[in-house]
Amino acid sequence: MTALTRALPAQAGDAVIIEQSRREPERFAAIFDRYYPEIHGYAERRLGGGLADDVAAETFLIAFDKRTGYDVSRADARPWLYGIASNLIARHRRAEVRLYRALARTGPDKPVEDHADQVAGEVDEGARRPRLAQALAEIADGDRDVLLLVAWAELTSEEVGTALGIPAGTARSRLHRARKRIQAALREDGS
Amino acid sequence: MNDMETLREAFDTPKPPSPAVQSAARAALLARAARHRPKRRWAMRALMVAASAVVIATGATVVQVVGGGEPTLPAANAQVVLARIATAVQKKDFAPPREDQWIYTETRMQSYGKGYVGKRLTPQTPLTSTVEEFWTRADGKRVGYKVDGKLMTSNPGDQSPENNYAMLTALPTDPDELLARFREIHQVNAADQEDWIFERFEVTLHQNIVPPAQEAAIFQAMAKLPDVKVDESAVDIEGRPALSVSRVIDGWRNFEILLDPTTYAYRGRRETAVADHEERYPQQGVEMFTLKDGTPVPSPPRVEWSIEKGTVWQLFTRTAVGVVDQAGQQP
Repeated sequence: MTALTRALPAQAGDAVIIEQSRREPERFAAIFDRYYPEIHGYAERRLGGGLADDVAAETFLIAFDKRTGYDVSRADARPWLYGIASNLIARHRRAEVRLYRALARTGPDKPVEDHADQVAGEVDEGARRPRLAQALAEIADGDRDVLLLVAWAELTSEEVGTALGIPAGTARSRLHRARKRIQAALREDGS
Repeated sequence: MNDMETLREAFDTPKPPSPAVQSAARAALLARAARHRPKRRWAMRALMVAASAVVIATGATVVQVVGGGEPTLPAANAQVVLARIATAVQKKDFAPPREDQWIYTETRMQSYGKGYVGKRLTPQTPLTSTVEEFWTRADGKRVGYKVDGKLMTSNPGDQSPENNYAMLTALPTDPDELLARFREIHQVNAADQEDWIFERFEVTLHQNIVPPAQEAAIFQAMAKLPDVKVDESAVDIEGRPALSVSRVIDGWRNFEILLDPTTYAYRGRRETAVADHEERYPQQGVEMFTLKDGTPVPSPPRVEWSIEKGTVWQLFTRTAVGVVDQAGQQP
């Protein structure tokens, strides 16, 4: 929520940097350095490695072009960046769903290429993953955008609303719908 | 553990991006930032002259419309003129660059560079002028630009055909296929897509040298975009007779591509508000909330800036274009 994020001192710099970058464009590199790994990671979870490289790079180019439109009263740039990344990820719906289907077919003992670092001892989580991946493949695109911004990017529904350009109430109802599907998948799992 | 935590933990934490990929992405960002670096301003006198010239040009357009000399041209006429342009440019002299040569462009841009947030722009608001030189290697793998007078080159990373000659020559020369390809490359909101494609065609003509077959296809494709208009008795930014191909973008500004009226060579671009416009944040359909005593309360959208109908939003004049052997050279 806006007021809460504003209170966090560690994030107080984003708006200042973006405002400075209107006069000194190179300052925008500080936003890149701060958030590129995180945005890349988010894109990689949703699309896998190669497409994530493109999406993450493009996110910051678009953000740079749109910097004059940034609301400097929003101290935290993450919702804005995730919104841009979500729009870019939406261009690759089919690739995203293919990735989840592949994960759904892969049991805990057969990690797919992009997820080869699976840690032993996570068998329990690994066992749930195929069902969760199957559910992610089946959830409506708009609902999945909201769900994963909350679960993986750790945004609030208000921030998700700002990020995706939808009313916060819509974000909340989409999240509710998506969570019901996820909970059903976990019940099938017996957990 | 709740369902959200499970969802977080069931999927592996992504690997950190590779340093090579990260530095390429950073270089692409810095290359773009360098293009946007504000250049030293012109002397104040030059600025004033530029601003008053803009006012006069706008005035002239208004008089023309009020005088009833040229009613709005029907789409059929636009199609005829665009077909004529396509036929003519197909026969233009064209020497393709070698892969290791560079495409040079110099552009003069007039706009409200900075500090317009919170303001109302009117025909009296002065425009700031900047001149920018840019080099792109024909294979698309290097770009050059000047930072404080010093030449810098870098790898631009991913590009699209508009500013990459190698990719441009690979574009289809059939107008329908060209439109399909641009729609595929530029997937923006459905409502904005035709606007965006028209703008990208302008960027192609502006930032690249375009082989005859592709240039003809661009004009034929424009004839297939709805609401594209042609004015054969337009006046360009310097006040010379010009041919303008235009489309109203985002519902408030007329986006004109200005061409030489006889050779149809690209000269520049002019964007003029055709309606009063308020740039709101957040945009329509988005709610913003602030916390009051722990409860989110909706906060009203605010106006970032506004522009009065008839005001020029920005102007671009391509002052030079050509092929050179090295970045930093001029044709």
